[in-house]
Order: sequence, then C-alpha cells, then structure tokens
Amino acid sequence: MARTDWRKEDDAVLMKPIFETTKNYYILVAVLVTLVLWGLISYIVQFNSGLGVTGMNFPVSWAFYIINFVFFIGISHAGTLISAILRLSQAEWRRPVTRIAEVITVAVLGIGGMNILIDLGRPDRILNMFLYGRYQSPLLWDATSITAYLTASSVYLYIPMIPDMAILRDNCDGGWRKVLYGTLALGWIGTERQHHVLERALAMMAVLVVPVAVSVHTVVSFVFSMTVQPMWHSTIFGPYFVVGAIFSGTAMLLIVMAVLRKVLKLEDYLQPIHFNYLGLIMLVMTILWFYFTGAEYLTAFYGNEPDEMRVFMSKWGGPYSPYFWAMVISCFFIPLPILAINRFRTIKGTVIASVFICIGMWLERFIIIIPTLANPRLHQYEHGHYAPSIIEIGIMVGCFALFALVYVLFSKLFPMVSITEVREGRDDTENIVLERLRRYTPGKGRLD
Amino acid sequence: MKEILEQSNLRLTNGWRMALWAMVALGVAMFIAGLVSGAAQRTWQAFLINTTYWGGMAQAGVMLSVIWQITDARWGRPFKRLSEGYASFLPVSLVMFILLYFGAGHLYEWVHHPMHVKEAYLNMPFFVIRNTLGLAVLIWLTMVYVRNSLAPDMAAARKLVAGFGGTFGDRLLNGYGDHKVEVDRLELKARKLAPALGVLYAVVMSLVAFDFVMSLDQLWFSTLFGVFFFIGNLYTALALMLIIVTFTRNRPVISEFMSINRFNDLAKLTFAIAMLYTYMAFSQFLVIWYSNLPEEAPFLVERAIADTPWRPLFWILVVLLFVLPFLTLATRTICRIPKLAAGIAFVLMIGQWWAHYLLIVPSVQGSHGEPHFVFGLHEILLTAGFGAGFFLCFFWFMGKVPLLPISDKRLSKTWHGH
Repeated sequence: MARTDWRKEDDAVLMKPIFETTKNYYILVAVLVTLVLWGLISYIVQFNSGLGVTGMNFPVSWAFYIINFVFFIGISHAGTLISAILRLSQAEWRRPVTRIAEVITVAVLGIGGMNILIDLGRPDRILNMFLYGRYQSPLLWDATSITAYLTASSVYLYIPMIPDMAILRDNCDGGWRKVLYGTLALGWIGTERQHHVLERALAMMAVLVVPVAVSVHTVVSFVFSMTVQPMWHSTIFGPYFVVGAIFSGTAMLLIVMAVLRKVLKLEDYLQPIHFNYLGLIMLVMTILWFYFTGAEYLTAFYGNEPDEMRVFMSKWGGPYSPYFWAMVISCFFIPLPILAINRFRTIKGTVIASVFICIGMWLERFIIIIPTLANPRLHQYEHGHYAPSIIEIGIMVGCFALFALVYVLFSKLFPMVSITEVREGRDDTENIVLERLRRYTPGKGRLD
Repeated sequence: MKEILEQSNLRLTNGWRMALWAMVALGVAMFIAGLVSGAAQRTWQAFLINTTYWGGMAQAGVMLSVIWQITDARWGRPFKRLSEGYASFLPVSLVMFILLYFGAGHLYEWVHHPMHVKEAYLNMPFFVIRNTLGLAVLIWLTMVYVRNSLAPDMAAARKLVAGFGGTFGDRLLNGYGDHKVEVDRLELKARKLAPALGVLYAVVMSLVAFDFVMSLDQLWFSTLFGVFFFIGNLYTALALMLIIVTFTRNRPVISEFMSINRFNDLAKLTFAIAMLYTYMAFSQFLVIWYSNLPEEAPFLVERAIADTPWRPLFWILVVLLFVLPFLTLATRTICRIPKLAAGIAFVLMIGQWWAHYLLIVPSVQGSHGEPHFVFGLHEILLTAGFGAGFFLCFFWFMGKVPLLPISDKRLSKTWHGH
C-alpha cells in the first residue's frame, strides 16, 4: 500500500470510535454514571451529617480519602512523566502510547485533589489555604505543586492534540463537533511555522514536566515525613513515593492500554512490543520498589526506636500484617517472575502483573497511613483502630467510576491514539532514525 | 579495526609511573607514620574517607558499563572499556576495606560502647562477616562481568595483532572456543549478569554506606542514606570519566567513536546524576531539618546550621555539587567544550571528596571535645597515595586491552557503515 492509503486506513480506525457509537457504549456510560451517583449520594450524606458517618476516629483521622488521594496522585505519574521521558529519549515506540498516558494524568489529578475536599468536614475551608496559606506547611506545598502539575499536564496533553483537532475539524460534517474541534484547533493548517512553534513548545514542556512531576510526589510524601509520627518520618519517603508513583502509574497505564486495545480495536497500534517495553520499565520499578521498601523497613528496624518499633511490629506481625504481606506479595513476588521472564512478558502477563501491582500499591498507601495513626507517638491513643464505613466505600467506588467515566467520555470526543503521531511515525521515523544514527557514525556520518 | 588497536596503548610514561609509585610510597609511609606517631584516629579517618571515595568510585565506574549493557544503549559503547578499567582497582579496594577492620576501634564508638538495642547488629564479628562477604561477592561478580565483556574483544584483537595483551591476554582467553559462538554466548551471559550486578551493587553499597559511614554515629540513621551514598559514587565516577575521555578522545580513529555528540551525552548524564544527587540530599536533609527530632537533627545541625567549622564546608559543597553543575553542564555549549567540561568535572571530583569528608569527620570526632577542622599532611598524602594507586591500576589495565569494545555488535554496526 502506498503511504497515502495507509493514512486513510489509520484515520478510519482511529476516528471510528469518535463518530460511531454502539449500544454497549451507552450501557457502559449508564453503569458508570450510576456508580458515580452512588458516590455522590454518599458524599451528600456525609456532607449533611458530618464526618461522623465515616469510620474515621481518634486517633485515626486520615483514612480512605487520603489513601485514595495518594493513590490517585501516584497513578497520575504514569502519564505525563512517562510520555515526557519517552519523548525526551526519542523512543520511537512511544507514538501510540503518549495520549493514552497523558489523559490518565489529567483525569486522576482532578480526582486525587477532590479527595482532599471530600476529607474536609467543611470543604469551604479549602479557601483558607489560598487566603491564609502558611508556606511552612507541607500542605501548602502540596497544593502548589499539584496545581502546577495539573496545569502543566493539561497544557502538555493539549499541545500535541492541536493538529489532531484540525484533522477532526476537517473530517466532521458540521454541528457542535465542528465548533468544538474548530475552536480547539486554534486555526491549525499545518504550515511549517506552526509545526516549528508546536515542536518547540512540546520540547520545552517535556523538559519542564519532569521536575514538576518528581516534585509532586516528593511533596506528597513530605505531608507524612515532615511530621514526627513513627514510620512516617523517614528520609527515604520522597524518592520512595516517586518510585511507587511511577510504579503504580505504569501498571494503570498498561491496564488502560489493554482495555482500549480490545474495546476500540487498536490491536494494530498497541502491539505486544509496547506492552513488552512498558513491562520492562515496570520490572525496573518493581525491583526499585522492593529495594526502597527494604531500606525503609530494615533501617527502621535498625534504628530501633521504641515508638517506631510498635508501628513496625503491627505491620510485620501484628493486626496489619495480612495487608502488609499482601502488599509485598502483590507488588514484588507476583510481578517479578512475570515481568522478568521473557516468555511471560506478554500482553496478558503484563496486565495480570499490573492488576496485582495496582492492588498492592493501594495497600501500600493503606499500610503507610493507617498503622502509624493507630499507634501514634503519644501513647494515650495506643489502641486506635479503623474500619471503613459504607459511606467511604461508596465514595471510593464513585471515584474509581468517575475516573473510568472521564476516560470513556474523553475517548468519545478525542482520538485516544494520536493521529498526528501515527502519521509522523509512518512518514518520518525512517528519516529521524537515520538522522540520529548519522550523528554517531564515524566518518562524518556516512551510512552507505 | 587495526587502527583502533594501534591506538589502544593507553600507557603511562615512565616518568608518570615513577611519580605515581612515589606517591603510593609516600601514602604508605604517611599511613604507618600516622599510626605509630599516636595520631591513629586521624590516620584511620583519612583512610576511611579515601577507601569509601576511591573504592566506591571504582565500583560505580563499572556500573556505567553495566547500565549501558542493561539499557542496550548504543551511545555509551565507546566508553565501555574505560568504565571497565575502573574495576582494576577493586581488588585493592577490597584489601583497603579489610584493613579498615583493624582501625574500627578508633573510628566506631560502638566497638567499645555499643548501644544496647543495636548490639545485635553493630558488633565486630557480624560487621566483619557481612561486609567481607558482601564486598567479596560483589567484586567477584564484577570481575566475572568485566572478563566476560573483555574476552571476545581480546580474541578479536589477537586475530589482527598476534600476541596482543601479552600473558594477560593468554590467561583471559584460557578455554575460549570458537569466536562466533563465544561472542553470542557471552552476550547472552552479559544480559543475565548485568541486571544481577545492578541489584547486588545497590544492596552491597547500601550495606557499605550503612556500616562504614552511617554507623560512625550510632544514634543517627537515615533510610535514604544507602541510595544517597551510591548515587554520590556514580557522580564521582562520571566526573572522572569526563576527564579521562577528554584526554583519550584526541587520538586518531578513537576520536571518531568518542565523537563530540557522545561526549555531550556523557556530560548530560553527569548533569542528570548531579541533579539526582542533589534531590537525594535535599529530600533527606529537609525532612531531618523540618522534623527536628533529637536523635537525627544533631547530625545536620552540626554540619550545616550550628557555628562549627563544618558549616562553611556544607554550604560550599552546595555550591560545588549543585549550583556549579546546574549552571554549567545544563548548557549545550559547555558540554561540547571537552576541556572546559573536564575542568568542571575535576572540581566536582574534589567536591565529592569533601562530601565524604563531611559525612565522616564530624561523626568520628563525635563527642571527643570541640569539633575541629583537620586537613594536613595526613589527608593530603593518603589521598595522593590512594589516587596514585587507582591510576596505576587503571593504566595497567588499559595498557593491555583494546580501548574500544571492538567485538560488541552495538559498536560495530555503525563501524561497518564506514
């Protein structure tokens, strides 16, 4: 087939989900909306009756909402960070993956931030953060870096979408879609100057986004490590959280990719090799995660502070030990063989590993937050305990459903695999790779 | 190919060799003199600084080759052999670490007055066993890795130049079969070895950081310390690599491989590691400073905040190890002027030496009276001795091997296009 024919083929496959809606789609949306409504109703109950309806108590005053907050912010690292790193290192295989990843970031950052609001008995007081914020407080750092990250990720998602918007604008027949795509395309007609500006902007954003992303989870970890609570106060928390975030984010990305591949029929674009490569990234993160977890726990054991040891023992062999060991098994012992052995690093294998990792990383946040609060440094609350109420479960289900819903709606409006990137891949990859090879080849870059 | 081998004579001139041996002799003399003259603690302290500095750097240097092997990176290939050259110092560094056991009584408070709760971990027999074992296994595996990477190159070199590498080459190629078969077999082996070595490096170097450095102050502990320590070593290793490459890349033929683009990449990697190191330091010290707990804050207060001789050093190091690379190596211009980049790298190496100093000396002085700044003949001569030893080993190795990994497919692919 000639290149132009391929282009038609690509366009047809990638735009199909936008212009054709099946019955199953409506059913899926209805189910998700119901779940979101469940969460919403739970929240309304909580709002009217106060936080007493949750399982939170003294001394366990942070629970499911904060766990979800950390978890969702962690997931957000999948997108922008991975996409930016792949772009910076000029990995050609990134093309079909970037958009899918970037959307995750924007969607879950909003939901993560929302969990903080949910955790407040008086959500209106969030304004105090802006009115009377104290820069000494890690909470303000959090608000700052998450807002910065959300802004940067949204821009970073939008910029490469502009040419796609123009393609959609030129391909739809009119109506509200034409207006929407026309507005978002910002008058893109693909001149050389436009390409140049777009590429410059993208290159700059890719560099900017990496330190912002790293700072986000470092600062999230500071919320814990800046306290003097046993086993929260740990110097490793910054990098540990960043590693965990990339780890869980990659896992979520793989799950989403596998689902989209099936549902949107993108088998030709998301190939086993993409899963294989992301699986390798995840393998490295698995090992790093295990190292950091080991360093955190063994050093606490070495430090042997009485307060820390109480928390340590409650995780290692006490009431929280089932969760602790479930975390270790599902974050390390199950994914490691799957990801390390070439034969298992298939689409199915990586997805199975990813599911375990997502569960394990959720448990990790649980195991970091709850046992410490139940065994605080001040002994009078020694026997804290916590169990979630139906309200919290409802809100959590609502949050996950909202994530899925945002994603599903997004995929109805915008192509999940960047049309422009795929085109560019077909047209230019050869030249780009040759050009890069030339830079390294001795003899003034002669390849013939 | 043959041109590469002709350029692979990275040897010291006789004058340099004599000078380096003289420095080693001075170092040894200073060490013995320091021990018998009653300044045992100071001598051992300088010895510890240099063992962790040069030993850590030698190990980290090989890790560059391991990283390139794992990531399948093509751009790093021309530097692979140089990175493996660092390994030549490892046997010496093992001996140095073992020698340190004899000075433990002067350095580690826990040898004589252990804290009750940590006695189970911090006691001499266990200390000796776990560190000797850990280091020996790590160094042995590193040697297997280097040998594995070297053998096919040596065989290829011998096809072109008979007797290349002398008896060293003979021993290396003992039991070497058919070249084509061996190349594939050893590449497969390297694929398995490299990740294992990466993991082992992180574990053993964390152990070294905890045991040899962190336990100087037996009350203090920081969970990030292991990572902080070995990233610091990678930092030094890369800085030295920039310097070595600057002097190596002038040679004809070699300069085509170690092109300016590749040098730029190496400088960029140094920049990245410098930022990672800063991040590790920042996220560690900010947490300690902010929480202000009695068992950990003194470590930082003594070094960075209170009016001690260490405070200026701490802030100078912030400038040397963070501000300097941030302002210079971030720019493309400087990364592409090898001599300038190498000059900066030299400053970074010095900075890292003082970073080791700052971790070790205040802790050793500990409660023994007022903190006092010591820097004199003991430190200078021991450092010179260690450095000279390192370079003697390095050049001994480099004088016998092909400078580029000539049998590595990821190198030759671009070469055949020539």
